[in-house]
Amino acid sequence: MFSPKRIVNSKKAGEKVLSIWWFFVLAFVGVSVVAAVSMFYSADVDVKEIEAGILADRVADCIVQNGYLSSSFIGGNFKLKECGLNEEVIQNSQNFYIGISAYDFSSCNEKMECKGKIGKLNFSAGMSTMPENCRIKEAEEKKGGKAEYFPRCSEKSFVALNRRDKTIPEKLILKIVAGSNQRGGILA
Amino acid sequence: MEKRGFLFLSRKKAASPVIENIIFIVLNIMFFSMMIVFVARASSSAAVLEQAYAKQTALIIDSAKPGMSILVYMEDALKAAKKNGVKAEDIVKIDRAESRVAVKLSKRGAFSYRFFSDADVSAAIQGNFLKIDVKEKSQNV
Repeated sequence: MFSPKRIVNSKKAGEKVLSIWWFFVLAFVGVSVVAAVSMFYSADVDVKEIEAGILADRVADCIVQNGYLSSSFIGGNFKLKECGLNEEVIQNSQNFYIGISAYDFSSCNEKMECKGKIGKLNFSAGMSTMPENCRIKEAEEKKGGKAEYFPRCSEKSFVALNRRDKTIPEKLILKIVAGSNQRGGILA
Repeated sequence: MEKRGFLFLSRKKAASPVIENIIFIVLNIMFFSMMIVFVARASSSAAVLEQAYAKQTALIIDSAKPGMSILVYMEDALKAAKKNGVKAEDIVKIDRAESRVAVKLSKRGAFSYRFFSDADVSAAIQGNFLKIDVKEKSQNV
């Protein structure tokens, strides 16, 4: 009859090593090695937040030149192509979002929380649900969740001056929200 | 009739210690060989390297300004490609129409990642480096 005590107490070395316990140890080691290697080599390199930051910077560099808002943005005929961005990729891939809004500088506090939104100076392109999804992701991560498949956003604020249109304030706060949910894929 | 134990023959009629030891050693060698083969195969798939280089290249293109040339040191990727029989000129492909970078380090497939920059981009391996040239997109392209 099988008895672990008997195996441990056995004087024969061969009986000890060929016990069922040794196979449990081997199975445990095997499963651990397979799990660790699989986890390491299936890891995802997440660059969505960096990508969103780059997108926001590219747009900011383009619509604020030497501290002044570009005429196309004030005129309401701003296009992403002006910034050297591929409109087709941003609009149709459903992986990107760019949103620009402007506020009266005097309506903003030190934390860049603003109230006086200027309706005329607005622009958005790409996946419009992305800012909301980013907020959900942040809330989820605060709770300790992972939200791996949610987009990452980057929000940047700049002070910009307006000299061209007298109907809008001269000093503005420009808020640019960019998002990315690109995961990439394997081509056969 | 022969009496059986839990796993092996009853203790009284068990094989000699020499045979038991040989079986034990053979089983251990088999097990650890399988582990080594599994780890070696997993590490040679180069999937993480493919993904990292594809994303890095796309981010470099996105943040580059027209007229820039960027060199990316990728000796480890070249070694992995050579080991897996992939030619150096096939490692990085840029699909300008689709705005896509594809990095291939094994014969199983390539990892692709899109860039949003509307520039005229080309990439080629030079020694241990990948040279990325970013030019202003001409009107007729």
